[in-house]
Amino acid sequence: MRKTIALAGNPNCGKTTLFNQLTGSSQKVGNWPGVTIDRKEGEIKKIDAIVVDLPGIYSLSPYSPEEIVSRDYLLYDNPDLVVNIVDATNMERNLYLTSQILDMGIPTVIALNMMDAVEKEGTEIDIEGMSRLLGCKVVGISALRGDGIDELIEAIDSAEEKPNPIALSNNSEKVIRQISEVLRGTVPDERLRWYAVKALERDSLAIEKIGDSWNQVSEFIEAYEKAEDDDSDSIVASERYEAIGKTVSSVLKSGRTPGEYTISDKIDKIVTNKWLGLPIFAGIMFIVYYISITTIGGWGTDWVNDVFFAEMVIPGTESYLESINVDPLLVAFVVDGLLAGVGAVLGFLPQMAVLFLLLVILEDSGYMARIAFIMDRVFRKFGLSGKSFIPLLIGTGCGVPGIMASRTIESERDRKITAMTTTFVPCSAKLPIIALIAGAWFDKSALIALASYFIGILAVLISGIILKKWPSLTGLPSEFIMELPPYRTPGPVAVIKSALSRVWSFVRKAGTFIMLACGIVWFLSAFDWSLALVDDINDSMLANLGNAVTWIFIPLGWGSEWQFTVGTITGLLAKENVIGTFGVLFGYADVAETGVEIWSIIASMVTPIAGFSFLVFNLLCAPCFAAIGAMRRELGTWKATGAAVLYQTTLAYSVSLIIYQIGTLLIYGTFGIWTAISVLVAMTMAYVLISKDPFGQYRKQSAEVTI
Amino acid sequence: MNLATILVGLAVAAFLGAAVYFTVKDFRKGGCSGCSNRGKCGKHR
Repeated sequence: MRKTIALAGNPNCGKTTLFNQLTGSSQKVGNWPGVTIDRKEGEIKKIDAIVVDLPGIYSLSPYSPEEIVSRDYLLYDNPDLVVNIVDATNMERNLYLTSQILDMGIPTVIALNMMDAVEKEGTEIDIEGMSRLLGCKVVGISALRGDGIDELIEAIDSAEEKPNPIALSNNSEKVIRQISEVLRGTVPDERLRWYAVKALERDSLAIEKIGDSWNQVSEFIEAYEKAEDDDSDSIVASERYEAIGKTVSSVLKSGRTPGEYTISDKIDKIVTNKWLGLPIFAGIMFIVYYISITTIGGWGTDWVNDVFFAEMVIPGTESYLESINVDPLLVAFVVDGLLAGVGAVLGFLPQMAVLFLLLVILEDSGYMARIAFIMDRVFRKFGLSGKSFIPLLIGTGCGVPGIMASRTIESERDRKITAMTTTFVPCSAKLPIIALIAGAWFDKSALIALASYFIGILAVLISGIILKKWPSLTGLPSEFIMELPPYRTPGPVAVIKSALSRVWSFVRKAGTFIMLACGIVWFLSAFDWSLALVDDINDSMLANLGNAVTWIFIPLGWGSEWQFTVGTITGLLAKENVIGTFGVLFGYADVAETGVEIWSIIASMVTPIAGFSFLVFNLLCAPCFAAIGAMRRELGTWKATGAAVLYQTTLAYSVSLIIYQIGTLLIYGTFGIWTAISVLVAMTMAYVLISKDPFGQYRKQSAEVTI
Repeated sequence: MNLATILVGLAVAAFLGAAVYFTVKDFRKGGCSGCSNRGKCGKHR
C-alpha cells in the first residue's frame, strides 16, 4: 500500500533541498486549506510513497499558521511516517521540534543533514548511539551534495516501529502518566503522550479533548507547578532542552572548544556592529554598483550598444533585408521596432550580468542574511521589523516573489504593509532604467544606483510610519527571530550557474514580452489614426495618446515630452519596457547612420534633475501588472489592491514633484506656483509623519466613547 | 508583395507567435516572464 510521509523540520535546515532530491520532477504545488501557505507533494517512485512537505517550523505550538498547519496534518491526516530533518550543525535547536514529533508516536526517521559541514568542522556524531537513544533510525545525509539519500530511502521503506519519546524529569513523567489515564479512550492510544504533554502545557486543543475532566487534570497540574515552583509550560520547555542537551552531549564529539568564536562569529562582530553595520552595507553596495554599472559592466554595455548592435546587428540586418527586396515597411518594423526596442534593453545585459554575479556572491556567502538583521534595528524605529526586509531583499530580483514572501510574516498588519511596499526597492527590471539615467546625465555614476536603492528603502520606512497610522493598519511590529547561517566561500560553479540563470531570464524576457510590447509601440508610433504612415512621429497615434495625458507630469519636469510619459505607461507591462520604448521612439536603430546615441538625445530633452525625477517616479510608482496581480493575491481584494496602487503612485508623484521643484529652485533659482505646491506637499508629508493621529482615528474613537 | 517579403513576414509572425506563447505560459505560472526568483518565496527551505 502506498505510504504517506510527512517531511518536517526547522526553516533553513535543507528541507526543500531534500524534498527535491527525493521527489525530483514529480512535485505538485497547491495550498493548505484556509491559509495562504504553499503545500508541496511529490512521489518517491523507488518505494511507492508520497511525500508531503510541511512548512518549516521551530515547534508544534499553535501560534503561527505554519505551526497549526503542520500540527493538524500530523494529528488528523495520519501520515504513515515522519521524516524529520535535523540540521546537524545546530542539533540542540533542531531537536526541540524532534522531541515534540517523537511524542506523537508516529514512526519517525531522522535525516541528519549538512553532515558535510559537520565533518569540515572536525566534529563526529555517534549516529548509531543517537538511533538507540531516540528509538528510531537516524541517517546522516548531505541533501545539497546528494549524500546518504539512498540510505535514507531504505530507512523510510523499512521503518515501522514507534520511536522513544525524549523523557522529561520523573515528576513530569508522573504527571504525564496521570493525565494520560484521564485521556484514555478519548484520543488514539499512540497520541496519549502528545495530548498529555500538551495538556500539561495548558494547550487549548488538549483542554478541549479532556472536556469535563479538566478540573481533575487541573488539580494535578497545580500540584505539580507548586512542587516545581514554576509554570507548567516553562517547566516542560526547560526540561525538554535539558534532556536534549544530554542527548546531544552523549552523541557529539566537537572539534571546537566550547565558547570559542568561529570565523563567522568574528566577522559578524564587525559586520553586524550597531555603528558599523549600515556604513559597511552602503560601502559594499557602492562597490557592487561601481563595478557593475560604472566600470566593468559599463564597458561591456558600451561595446554592446556601440559595436554589437550599432555596427553589426542592426546595419547587418537592415542591409540584408534590403538586399533581398523585403518591403520597406516590414524592414522598418523589424529594424526600427523589434530590433531597436530589444536591442536597447539587451544593451544593458553586460551591466546586469556583472551585477547579478556580484549579488549572487553576496547571497551565497551568507552576507545578505546579515542585512536583514542589521535593518531590523532601523526598521523597528519606523514601525516595521527586519522580517519585512526579507521580502524586500527577494524583491531586488523580482517583485512578484518578494510580495509573495510577505506571507511569512505572522502579523497581518506588517504583512499588508510589506506587500504594499516591497516594490519600492528596485527590482532587476528597473535596473536598466537606473543605468539609463546614470548613463544619460550622470556619467554612469554608481551613486545614482546607490541612491535609487536607498530611496526605495526610505520609501518603505516612510510608508511604515504613514501606513501604521491608517486605522486598519495600526499595531506593533512583529517579533523577529532569524538564524544567521555561517559564512562560506561561494562555490564558483554554483555562483556562475545562478548568475547565468538570472541572465537567461533577462534575455528570455527581452525576447518575448518586451519584444511584443516594442512591436506595438512601433506600430502606434509609425501610423496615425487613419492607419497612414506618418513622416513626423508627433503626428502618430502614440503621440496623440501620450499628449492626452502627459500634461499630468509637467510639474515633475518631464511631462513636456510625451515620449517619457509613454515610456512610464508601457513600464506598467514590464519595467524594462521603458528602455524598449525609448529605443523605438528615439531611434536606437539609427545610431549607425546618424552616430548620435539615443542617450544624448534623451539627455538633451530635459534637465538632469528632471531625469532624476523621472527615475524616482518610475522606481516608486505602481509596479508592473504581474506584481499588481501578486499584491491582489496577498491583500485579498481588488479594492485593497487599488488603494495600494493609488498610495504608491501618489507617493511617487509627491516625491518626484519635491525632487524636481526644490532641485530646480536650488540649482537654477527658478520659483513658480508648482514650487510653492511642492513645499506644501512636503509639509503635508512631514505632518503625517510627525503627527500622532493624522487621520483623526483616535479623535473619532474618543468622540464615540464620549457619546 | 514579393516572395522575400512574404517569407520574412511569416518568419516574423512565427517569432512573435512564439513570444506570445511563452509570455502567456510564464504569466500563467504566477510570475512575470523570466522571473528568476520564482519559488524562492522563503516558505519552504
